[in-house]
Amino acid sequence: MISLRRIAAVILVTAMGAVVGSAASLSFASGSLGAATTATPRCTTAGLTVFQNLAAGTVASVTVGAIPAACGGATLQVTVNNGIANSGGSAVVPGGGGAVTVNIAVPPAVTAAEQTDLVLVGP
Amino acid sequence: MKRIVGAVLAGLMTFGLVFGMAASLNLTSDSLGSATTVVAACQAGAMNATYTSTYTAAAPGPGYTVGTVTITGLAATCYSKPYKVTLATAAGASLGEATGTTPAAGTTIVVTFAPVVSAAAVTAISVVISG
Repeated sequence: MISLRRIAAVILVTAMGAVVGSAASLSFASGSLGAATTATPRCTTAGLTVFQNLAAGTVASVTVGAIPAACGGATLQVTVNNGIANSGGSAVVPGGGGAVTVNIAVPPAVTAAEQTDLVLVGP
Repeated sequence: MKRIVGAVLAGLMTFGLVFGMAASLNLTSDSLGSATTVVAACQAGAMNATYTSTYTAAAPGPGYTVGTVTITGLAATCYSKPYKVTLATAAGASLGEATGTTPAAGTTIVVTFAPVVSAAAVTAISVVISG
């Protein structure tokens, strides 16, 4: 009689376990999801010097100075816009930084005011 | 034997009362199932973003703009999956967003932004790859 009760108890517990187990057995999968955000750093926030080198009434080249060593290896792009036309060029900053002269591909004429834009890309 | 029969009868009466009380409520239930699974990234290796800057006289210029971002370091486990790349300011404001599908080969994703965004304003980049 005792063994029958034990058997009944085991069967009952097993049945309950099976019910609980089936309730949690949802089939569920997930695709991958990866995300990241990173800063786009500046190699310098210090002021740079910019000099236009004139030739025959045009801006033939631009010299950018005071470039820190942290910008070594970057590509310096410079564009001069005189309000009528614009042209630019690029040069690689030496490892130690310093001054870099960029030749302007099609030197624009000197006017009352030219805008000079520059960007350092990389490394 | 009489004691056993008595116990059985008492049990039946007890359960009968319980069932009777349970039957007096009208209760239904929606289904409920739950599961937990891991949401993993398609790769753990580092990726690197480089920028292609071009001079733009028109808005958002005049000035240098970014129209192409090249992301290297793509692993094969991230092939052919939807991606989204956002260029943002330091304050987190979006400057532009580009979407596409990662290539099925190689280690590079070339992302094009149209319209281009001001290079001077870009101080953060976010990438998400899903699927």
